[in-house]
Amino acid sequence: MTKELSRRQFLLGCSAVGVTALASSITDLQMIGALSVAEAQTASDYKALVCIFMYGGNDGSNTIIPTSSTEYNQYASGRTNLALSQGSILGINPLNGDGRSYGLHPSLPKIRQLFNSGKAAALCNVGPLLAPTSRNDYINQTVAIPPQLFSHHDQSIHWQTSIPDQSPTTGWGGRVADIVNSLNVNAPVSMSVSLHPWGSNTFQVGRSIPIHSISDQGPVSLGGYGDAPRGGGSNEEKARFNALRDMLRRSRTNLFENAYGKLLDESIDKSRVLGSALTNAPALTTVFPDTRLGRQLKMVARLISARGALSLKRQTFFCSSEGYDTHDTQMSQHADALADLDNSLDAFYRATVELGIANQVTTFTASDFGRTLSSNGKGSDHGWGGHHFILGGAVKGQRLYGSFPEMVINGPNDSGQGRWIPTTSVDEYSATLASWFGVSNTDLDSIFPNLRRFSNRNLGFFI
Amino acid sequence: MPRLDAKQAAGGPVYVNETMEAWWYCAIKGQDELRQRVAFALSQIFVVSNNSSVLDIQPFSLSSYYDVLVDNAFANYRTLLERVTLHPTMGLYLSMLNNAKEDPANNRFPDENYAREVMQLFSIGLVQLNLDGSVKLDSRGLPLPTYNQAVIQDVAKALTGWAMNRNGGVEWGFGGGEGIEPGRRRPMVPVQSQHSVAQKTILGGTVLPAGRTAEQDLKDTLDTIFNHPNVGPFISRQLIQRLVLSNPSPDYIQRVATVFNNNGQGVRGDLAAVVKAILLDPEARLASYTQQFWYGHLREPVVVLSNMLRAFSMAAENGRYDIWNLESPYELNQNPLRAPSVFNFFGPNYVLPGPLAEAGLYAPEFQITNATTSIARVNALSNWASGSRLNYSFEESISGNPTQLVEHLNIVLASGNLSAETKQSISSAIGTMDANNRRARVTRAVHLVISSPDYMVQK
Repeated sequence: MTKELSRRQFLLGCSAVGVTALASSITDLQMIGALSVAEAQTASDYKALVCIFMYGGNDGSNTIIPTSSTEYNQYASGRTNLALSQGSILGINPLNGDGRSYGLHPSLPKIRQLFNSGKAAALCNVGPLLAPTSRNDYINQTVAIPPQLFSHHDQSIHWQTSIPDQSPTTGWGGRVADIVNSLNVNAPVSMSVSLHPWGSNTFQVGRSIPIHSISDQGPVSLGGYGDAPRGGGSNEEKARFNALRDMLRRSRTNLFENAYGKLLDESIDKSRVLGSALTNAPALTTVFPDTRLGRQLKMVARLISARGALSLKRQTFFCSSEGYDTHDTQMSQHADALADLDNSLDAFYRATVELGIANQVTTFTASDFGRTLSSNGKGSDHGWGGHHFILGGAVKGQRLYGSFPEMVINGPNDSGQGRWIPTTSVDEYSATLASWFGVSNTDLDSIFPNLRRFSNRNLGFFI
Repeated sequence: MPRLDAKQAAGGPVYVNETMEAWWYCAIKGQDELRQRVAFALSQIFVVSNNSSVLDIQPFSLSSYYDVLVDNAFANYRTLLERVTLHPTMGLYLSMLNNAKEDPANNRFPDENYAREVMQLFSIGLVQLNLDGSVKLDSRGLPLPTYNQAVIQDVAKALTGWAMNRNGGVEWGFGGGEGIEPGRRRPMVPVQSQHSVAQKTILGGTVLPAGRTAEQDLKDTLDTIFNHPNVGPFISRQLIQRLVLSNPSPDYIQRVATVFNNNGQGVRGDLAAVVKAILLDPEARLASYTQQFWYGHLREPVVVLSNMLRAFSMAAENGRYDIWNLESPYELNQNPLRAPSVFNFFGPNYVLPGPLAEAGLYAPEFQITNATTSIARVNALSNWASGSRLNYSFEESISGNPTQLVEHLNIVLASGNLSAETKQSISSAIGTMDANNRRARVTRAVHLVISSPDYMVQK
């Protein structure tokens, strides 16, 4: 009780330090975090959060489709040549019915199975918002909206930072890691691992916890120096390796040189540790699809299986999938992309079951935006709100969360051409995930400064 | 292109690797280094990529497009913009090919892909800029957008109605063919019946009257974009980032953007003048700048490799440079015409968390340099350095004297930028090697030079 009061006083006292409450609450995250975790964590169990980012803007309107006749007709009329035939849609049985029926894209039979068995949930019409926004608000410009709507780069960043009205410096996954990393004692590598094939992401950028980027085939060892990186090697190899170390470790005036030297130097050691942990981890029998996403998730599963050797109680993973920007050839391209998602997520869930930690790993999807309901002849264009999946043993599945839009062009949910104005914010989505992951209620406002503008701090999709 | 055509004429087959081989042939043997270098920089702004379902494994289309960048590297930006816009490879990549006019009765609207990216990435960017590249702010301190969604929708309409110019004539809707299909390398041609004749309000409030032709609307749209004050600073800054340093001063950007706006003879958009202004600027050359803690940029992996292979006159094998698939993260994580998306391998505003971020510095090339790729890159470069087709005869002749060898490598690879401490570290290590094994001494010295921060950061 005493700690609770002192924390609240500290937050109130932020303004006395001459900084605005919201900005300072992020910079003082670590002190709050230390108190928060010490109080909130009694059991030091393991948890992992896995983000699957669908780059390009996943077409939500063909991912979850209403199948009851009035709603289906509205959908088909708006979509014209992009509409899925009613017979092809895979029906789902949500426990929290709203009187209408729904189904999934034909490429998602495994996710449908996971949904119907309670392991997956769907969150409808979620996207970046600065405040609850109605159609009138949007048309009359009476509510601020996230900047650069419909721009891939900017919307991807808003999804990953969850603070669209500030210049991006950290991602919400990084801010969460900054707080919960105190549970990871003496971990030799970072708890934040990115599998994104082309480098980093904004989601995991934190103030103190670095991102460890790894490819789907695992860490790379430095070659050309024999065993010298591991303490062995010939005299010549040792001499050359020491020369390399000296060059990398020497402090210089030029900041770029220092950054490169530090990066390469630390990578050499971390790769060795990671490689060793992976080699000694129990082998997995679950078969993953041999696709980019499948391979990323297989590596995630292996890194989770190595969590003991890496002394990690909390891990976050960032994976990505491409091919969602379906301006053209939408029907075939989207079908392929979703089939990959379906197979990869299913394999990953089964791997977590194999590892005995299905209830401790939560996977969630995200994307730049949804897409227009209307067609451009061959595909759809950039939208706003979209539907997403949350998957794992801790998820209160077989339910549709959020609110499904009325699929009517210029209807109450439309900002134009079927670009749905989100009815749930990324803040609420992310805060629900962060809360499960171990972030206390008070810290949620530090990590998500705009959260208090919305009504659902917790969307309730966890058991 | 000529190389690919010759192979095709000789009976082919022409695989997509030919595109890579042709690129490396020009990079290693070409005498027009600066032109090739600038074309490579332009290919990272006007991006098309093999890494896409529409262009995958299409060597002729990719080469033809790249030749437009090479041919126009020193021409006028307005010309380049039009050639890029009308090239069918770009038409496929960003779906302007066969983009039809609106059909409101059937709730179908033109594809917005090209309209958006031609403004966001190829010319003006998302926010209004001052001449020095700084972002203009309104009275509340917020940036001012350059356009909104309505503008995109109308620019999309303005650019409707372009199709492939095939041998048998224009064929609306045709998007196939490769290899010998001439339509793939000729500029797209207009099909008026598929062009939107609505009135359109495009960038900057410019109104295109109703009832005009596809050519008229295209010309006026490209002219309007070209004349937007953002183009000078937007393009200049990115070219400076590719050629010189990641964080040019506002004054440097302004000096170059000024040349973009007027090359001194009243011409706007003279790329040759812009490149010259970039490379001859004091900020590109003087030690008072280059020795600053914020100066420089991490060398791009492809440029490092070409630097090395050219420095040691790598020999072709049967006239070919079979340097393929460098885009793998286990190789260089970069390969011309194989960017992961239209956003290139890295963005101009990438920030690396840590001291660079704290100093307010951008570091684009670090976006592809991480715990895995940094090591993979050094391994890959070392393997290339050890290749048997590199000519190390001079280096081997001086390998008995490690200090002399390292100083030589300092000049041919690092432009004299290796510090005394780095040179000392490397020479001592090489000195422990068997002097009779000359080639090994040379290749290991090269490994160490290219792994050094002194080399990897170009100043």
